[in-house]
Amino acid sequence: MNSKGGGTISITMGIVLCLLICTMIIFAYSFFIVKPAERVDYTVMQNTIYVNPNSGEAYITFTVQNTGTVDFVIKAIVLDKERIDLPVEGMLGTTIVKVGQRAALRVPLPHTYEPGTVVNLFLITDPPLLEAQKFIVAPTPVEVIG
Amino acid sequence: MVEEILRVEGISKSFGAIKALSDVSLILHKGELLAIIGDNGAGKSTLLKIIAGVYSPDSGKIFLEKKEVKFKSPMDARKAGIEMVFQDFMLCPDLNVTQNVFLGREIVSGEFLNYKLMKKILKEKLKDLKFDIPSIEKKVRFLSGGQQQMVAILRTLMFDPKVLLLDEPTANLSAGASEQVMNFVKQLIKTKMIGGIYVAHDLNAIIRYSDRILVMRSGRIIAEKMPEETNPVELVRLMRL
Amino acid sequence: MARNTFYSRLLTTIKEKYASIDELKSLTGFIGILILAAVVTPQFYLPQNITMLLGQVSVIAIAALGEAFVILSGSIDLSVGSIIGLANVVAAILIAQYNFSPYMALFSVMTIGGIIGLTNGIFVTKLRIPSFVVTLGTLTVVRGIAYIISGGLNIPVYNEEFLRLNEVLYGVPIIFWIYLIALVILTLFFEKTRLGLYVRATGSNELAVRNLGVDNSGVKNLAFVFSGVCSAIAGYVLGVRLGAGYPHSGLGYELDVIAAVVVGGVALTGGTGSLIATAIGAFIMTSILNIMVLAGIGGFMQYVVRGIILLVAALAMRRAGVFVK
Repeated sequence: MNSKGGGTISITMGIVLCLLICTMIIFAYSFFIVKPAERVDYTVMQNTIYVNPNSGEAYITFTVQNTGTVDFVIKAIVLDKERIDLPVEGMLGTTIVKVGQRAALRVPLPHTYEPGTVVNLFLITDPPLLEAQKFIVAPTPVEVIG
Repeated sequence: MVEEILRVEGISKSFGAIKALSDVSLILHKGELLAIIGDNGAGKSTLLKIIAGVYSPDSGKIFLEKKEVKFKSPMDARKAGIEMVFQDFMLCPDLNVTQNVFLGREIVSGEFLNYKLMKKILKEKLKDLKFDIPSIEKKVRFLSGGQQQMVAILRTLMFDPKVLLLDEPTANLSAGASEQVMNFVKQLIKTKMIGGIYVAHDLNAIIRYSDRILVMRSGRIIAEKMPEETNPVELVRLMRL
Repeated sequence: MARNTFYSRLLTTIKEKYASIDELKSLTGFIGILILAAVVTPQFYLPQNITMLLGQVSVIAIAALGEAFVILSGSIDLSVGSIIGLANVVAAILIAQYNFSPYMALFSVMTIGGIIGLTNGIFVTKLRIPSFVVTLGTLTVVRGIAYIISGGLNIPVYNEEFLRLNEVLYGVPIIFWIYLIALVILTLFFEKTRLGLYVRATGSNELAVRNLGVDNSGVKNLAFVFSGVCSAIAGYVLGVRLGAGYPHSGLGYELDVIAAVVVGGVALTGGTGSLIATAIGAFIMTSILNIMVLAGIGGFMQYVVRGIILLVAALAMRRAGVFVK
């Protein structure tokens, strides 16, 4: 009669052993087989263009959070279709954004914008965004410095 | 003289400061139904549980067919041939008769349960024992109390036990069902030459069914009586003395 | 007279048979719902609606498989919704940020689910804390971990292989095929192996099982591990549907999952029920939701209706004596 008594190895120990082996396989896979993807991803926040109608002075402020897996450098900003390469004179803040961190920037603009309008902000980074994500565009309101 | 099947020598057991058993010894013969009586807390249940491997004794030895045995768990005792029947049946109401009878000792082919073979063996056993169960595929919850206890006893008989321990087997049964169960057990012990130890409160039943009576008080065996030469009054006096 | 007793005996036999087959009650309910759908919202039977329904039911039904094991063994697992959320987030991170293949990511979240399940089990069996309290704790902790590792942000996944799992194969969503595979494997385990039998036996009478020398603690741990692993698969499947990892996904799913199990006819006291019955329960809950949407019943009303169905199911089981031990 094929009637096992059980108790050769307890069920709980069997589970622990099985989960340990699985964990080891996963670690081995992540260390030796795959490399983290180099993917640029970010979120733009608190983006506003400030203009002074009297002096004609204008600047943009915004914060970038790096939500990707690599550090990146902001090479340029694009406002509607106008490209402004960074760094420019009078710029405040850093263009290097580390993984998971935020960077705040204030960039003086070459000409003024109409208050009350919205301008589309787009960043050009190094390394660049993937093809699929080309459309991280931040609508930026234009306000008067009060 | 009939051969001995189980011998217990000098068993002691304490639970914390309470001494449940002190130096208990007994001999059980083949084909004998030995009754143990005593007030609550006299140690009868503890003794039974030690023999069944539920507790391990602090000191003392157990011999099964003259060989010393040590049980770490009830499973060890079952493997050695010691089976226990409980007052509350210890059945799984949601499993059917076959599943209950083979519980813990299922027959498997490869990794899968072989119900076909289990049913076949069970049917043969039922025929052999002249046992009456409505259906072996019925869930136990649909059986009467007497039928449930019969299933529990049947479970102990599947693997030809050497010793049957009965812990108040009829406490939850009607008079008619009790009689049916005890007659069956008695006949079984005689025909299969099994040793039986029977713990109960019903002194009339004990005198009627057992071959020998041990009286326990405060963790000791204080008297041994033959059923034909005693009566309930004397037994009560011994228990309470 | 003779006729009378014959009929009453026949009726008793039918009643007993009906009560002894676990799937029948929930199947009756499901057929009732299908008839209701035919009358109230015939568009329920449009092929595209059926396909959508199968996709919807997958997440709850997969998690319900594991939950059924826990409930059958006599405990309860409230942490399923949080494990779904964590698995969803972790799978998305592994695929999108660590370049894991979608299959390795599935394997990884299953392992994590298993570890959480084992933790639940050990708290219940070794430290003797009621499963309701233990899993209420892990519900909160695991959800917290999901928020921490995602930073509270959503993680989009662009992996094509992963997103392809959201497609339809032979008229049935691939994720529903995943569910069917899990259902077949676990049903085989539950009905045909001794460990599967011990799960039900432990839920039915734990003391008896222990007295017979069965490792009841191990059996309960195993049930919790199954629940963790199934919830993790459910979270992964949810990720396929969403195309992303959301740290708040699966919030409150534990109630839908437990409702599916109970409506399927598995007694909360353990012991009775089957995985097929649980599957029917999941279909009942999801179909009702679908019918209400088709019939234009508002979202707030849906909560009330679902709760009432749960209560009715519990009442039906009480009548059948399932809760009476």
